[in-house]
Amino acid sequence: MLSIVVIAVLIALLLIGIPVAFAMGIAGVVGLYFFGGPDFVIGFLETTPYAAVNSYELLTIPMFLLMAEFIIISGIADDLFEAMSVWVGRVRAGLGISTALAGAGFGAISGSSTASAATLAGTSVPAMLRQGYDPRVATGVVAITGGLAMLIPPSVPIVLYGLIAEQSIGRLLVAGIVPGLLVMLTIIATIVVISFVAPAAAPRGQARSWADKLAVLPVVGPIAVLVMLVTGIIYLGVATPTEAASIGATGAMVIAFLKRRLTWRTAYQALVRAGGTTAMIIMIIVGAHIFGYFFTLTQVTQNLVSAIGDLEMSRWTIIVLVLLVYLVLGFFMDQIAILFLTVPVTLPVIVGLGFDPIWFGIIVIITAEIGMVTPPLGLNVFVVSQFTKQPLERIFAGVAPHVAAHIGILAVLVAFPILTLWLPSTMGN
Amino acid sequence: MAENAQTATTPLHRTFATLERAATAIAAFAMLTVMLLVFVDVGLRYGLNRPLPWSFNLITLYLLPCLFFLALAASWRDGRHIRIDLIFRVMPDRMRAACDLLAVLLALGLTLGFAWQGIHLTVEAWVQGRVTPGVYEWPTWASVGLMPLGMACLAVRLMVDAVRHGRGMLGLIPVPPVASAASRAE
Repeated sequence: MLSIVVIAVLIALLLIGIPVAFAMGIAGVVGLYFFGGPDFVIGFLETTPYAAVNSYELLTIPMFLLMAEFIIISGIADDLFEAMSVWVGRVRAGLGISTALAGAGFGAISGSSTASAATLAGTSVPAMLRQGYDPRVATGVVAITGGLAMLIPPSVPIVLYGLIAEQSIGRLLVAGIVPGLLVMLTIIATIVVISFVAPAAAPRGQARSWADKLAVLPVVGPIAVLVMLVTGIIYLGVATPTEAASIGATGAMVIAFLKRRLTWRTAYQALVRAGGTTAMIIMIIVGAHIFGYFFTLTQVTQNLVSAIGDLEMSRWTIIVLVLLVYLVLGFFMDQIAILFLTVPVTLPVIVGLGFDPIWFGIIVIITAEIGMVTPPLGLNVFVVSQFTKQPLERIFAGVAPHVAAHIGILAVLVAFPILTLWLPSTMGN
Repeated sequence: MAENAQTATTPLHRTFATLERAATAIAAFAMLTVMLLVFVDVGLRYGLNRPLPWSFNLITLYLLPCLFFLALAASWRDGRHIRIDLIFRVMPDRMRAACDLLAVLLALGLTLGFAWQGIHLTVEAWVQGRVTPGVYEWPTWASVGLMPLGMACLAVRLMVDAVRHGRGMLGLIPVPPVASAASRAE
């Protein structure tokens, strides 16, 4: 009974717009107070903030955030689309395909979905519109492509899932690679299908000479170096993900410096922005810890796990239901909030049913990502709209075929866990 | 970040704004230091097989708490906290200010609780002269104390905001529109 009241308090606090971190902390305090009295609460207030953040691995978060900030400063992502379009050349929907490829490339050096959408919106949408693309097609592909950054390492949501689920962050990051590439291929396939159905909406690219193709190659250099520094180091097990993140951030800073884009001012702004986002996430972790203690004490999770275990229902039906809940949550909530609010409860259920926790993490992130491009929240659509001055309805319409395809590839990844789990299984220790 | 300059009208506001900027600068410096320290440490470990023996403790005891807690006030100021604003964004102005006031007061209660208990822990560590075990003896009070310091900064920021939202609720000052999703993502 108490747990139902506390969950209701949490939902009420969230609905009136209280930041997630504090809503969880306050609901947790209320629950602990009625569970064990004031002294009990005071004990948790004393130890929680310090205990919650006393982890070296948490450092991965600010370092990935900082790396993304330096990447944006360096401007190498802007060159990426140009390079891809030169190489893709005269194929159907060439620039649309280039956008998806550039998105994957950006995803491999940055973990921020919105930054990816913003960067691509600024470069690829004007180029596509100049070539006569239907604005819906041009903006839709950019909005959906942003999500690749969350799957392909480095990825902040994957690190957060690893911290919440107490799974190997290195394996999780590597597990995101194959699904990330499959999502990229799905985006390309969708664009190609659109170009067959409506050839005028996504025209062919321009043929480019080999001289042009070779001339843009130097762009790939710094990106390849960064990919090696982060994903390569993690995959080979040369250093921990935390160390790889710090090295990646340093590498990104050096690239920004070499490109003569790094000034004291931009560097300081990058640090303050990454620091502010880190502090916000840390506060959510503190709030989630307090709420989590309450949940553990009231045994809500264990009861739920055993109740679901007793259900006469196929485990596949249950996972589909769970994913439907995530899909709906994604419509209304930020991904980070969804992870902290739900994974502590859903993960034990899923693991209890015999599913793999690493696979589940990747699946949850892909599912919640759909909410980034659907109304009413659709953060990436808002970002693309802001950068391209296209109306929101147009972008939502343009992204709709991609959402359908995205759900299709999600079903494939759910049905075949080996697609996600194969690559991490080849890792060294 | 137009609201940074916000209501810095009284000497008290200005003093606090300066302190908030100083805390943010320390957090930023801590982040840069950690990044370079880990980079150098890994380099030395693989290059010369001689890692820095003190870097782990320096990072976990002091630099990470600086980075995590001292940027709290600025992160609230810049509106970085994730909230579900589906209903919030369609509320009438003064009702929104009332919800904001409630949010700030509840957050303030929690923050003061953390700060108060943190001070208690810090004083305890100081009085007992606690140090970490090992070759280097690091005093723990300086580490533990960063949490209440950051929380206290956040508490002052919340008090400043409470006054602002309260005045908005009473219709004394105009209530600013909800920041768009895209501008928050910036």
